Amino acid sequence: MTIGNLSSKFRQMPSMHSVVMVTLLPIPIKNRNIPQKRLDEQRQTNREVLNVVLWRLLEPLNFKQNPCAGSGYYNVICADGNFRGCKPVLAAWLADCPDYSDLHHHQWHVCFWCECPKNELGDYVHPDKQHPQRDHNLYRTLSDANTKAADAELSSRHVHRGFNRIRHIRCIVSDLPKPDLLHTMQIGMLDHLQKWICHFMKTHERLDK
Amino acid sequence: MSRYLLGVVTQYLRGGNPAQHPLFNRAIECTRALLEFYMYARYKSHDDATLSYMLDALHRFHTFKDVFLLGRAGKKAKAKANRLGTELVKKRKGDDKTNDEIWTLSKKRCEMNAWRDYISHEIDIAKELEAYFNFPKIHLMSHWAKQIRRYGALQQYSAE
Repeated sequence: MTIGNLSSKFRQMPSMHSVVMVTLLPIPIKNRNIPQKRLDEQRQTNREVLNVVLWRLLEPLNFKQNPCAGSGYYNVICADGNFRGCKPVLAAWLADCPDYSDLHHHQWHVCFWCECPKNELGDYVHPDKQHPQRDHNLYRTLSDANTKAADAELSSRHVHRGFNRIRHIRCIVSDLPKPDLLHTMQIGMLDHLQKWICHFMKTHERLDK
Repeated sequence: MSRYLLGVVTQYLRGGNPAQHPLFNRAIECTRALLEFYMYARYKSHDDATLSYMLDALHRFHTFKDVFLLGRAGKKAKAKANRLGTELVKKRKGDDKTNDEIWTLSKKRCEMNAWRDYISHEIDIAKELEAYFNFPKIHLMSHWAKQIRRYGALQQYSAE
């Protein structure tokens, strides 16, 4: 857990203790050699466990009140010993793409901001014509409805059925995720690019020059 | 690493036969666009102009990325292409047998070369048709500009 309005210089210094660990999220064991049906069940259980942990984690923030518009002021003891009225606002959090998929109950390899179909991920998206944002309120109602039509609707949006704590936060959830984009670029895209270039040079026999 | 990549690529893709030049230029352009996008993203402060440069670089990357399509062919695509290859080789052998007595040695060699080129070309095309760029990271890039507008420069919360 960290505070949003710190400068990156302080945040990245381990000695400043700007990031505080609150909990360790459970990481399921990787099972590769079990049948598909067991695997699906196991995944379902994993998702539920993760949700319970998340619920315990977020419970003190009291989600009956809207954490974004925020009516609740808290008396918080500060570093200088004084009490101040503080208003915690859940703004965003950092994670990698698979973690977001787990937390949001999405299928894997989808975008967590917009409802981009899986087979159009590689296409160029004009900045004015982006896909509609993910609407977690809609997912919640569909998931609660628990009918076949609702299930089909959910899976067409690449979302898993089931209870999800995050969908009950009263704010625009798809606005919250904030992945480490530069990190994605450095270890992701540039790595891909290197591979492509290597392959390209091999096919055109330029590598041994 | 990213600073040197473009230089290395340009150096390695210099020369070659004229037929390859457009292809090489496209590869260089694609690399350049992606690196440019990355460099713009690393700015410590942004305004409308730098964001528009960034989006422009992204657009260029998407126009030129097809040149690397062959490298994206997955296992399925490769297997399919290889099946096609073996079929074509069979066809070639049949062709050889029927014309075995008519053709001279040099004619045979000529035909052989033509077949080989044809087969490798067909395999490449089959691979390219099956290959795709569908992975989340490439899509995420389209959201960067919006994220920067919303949360400020990316360096502020990079965990590197």
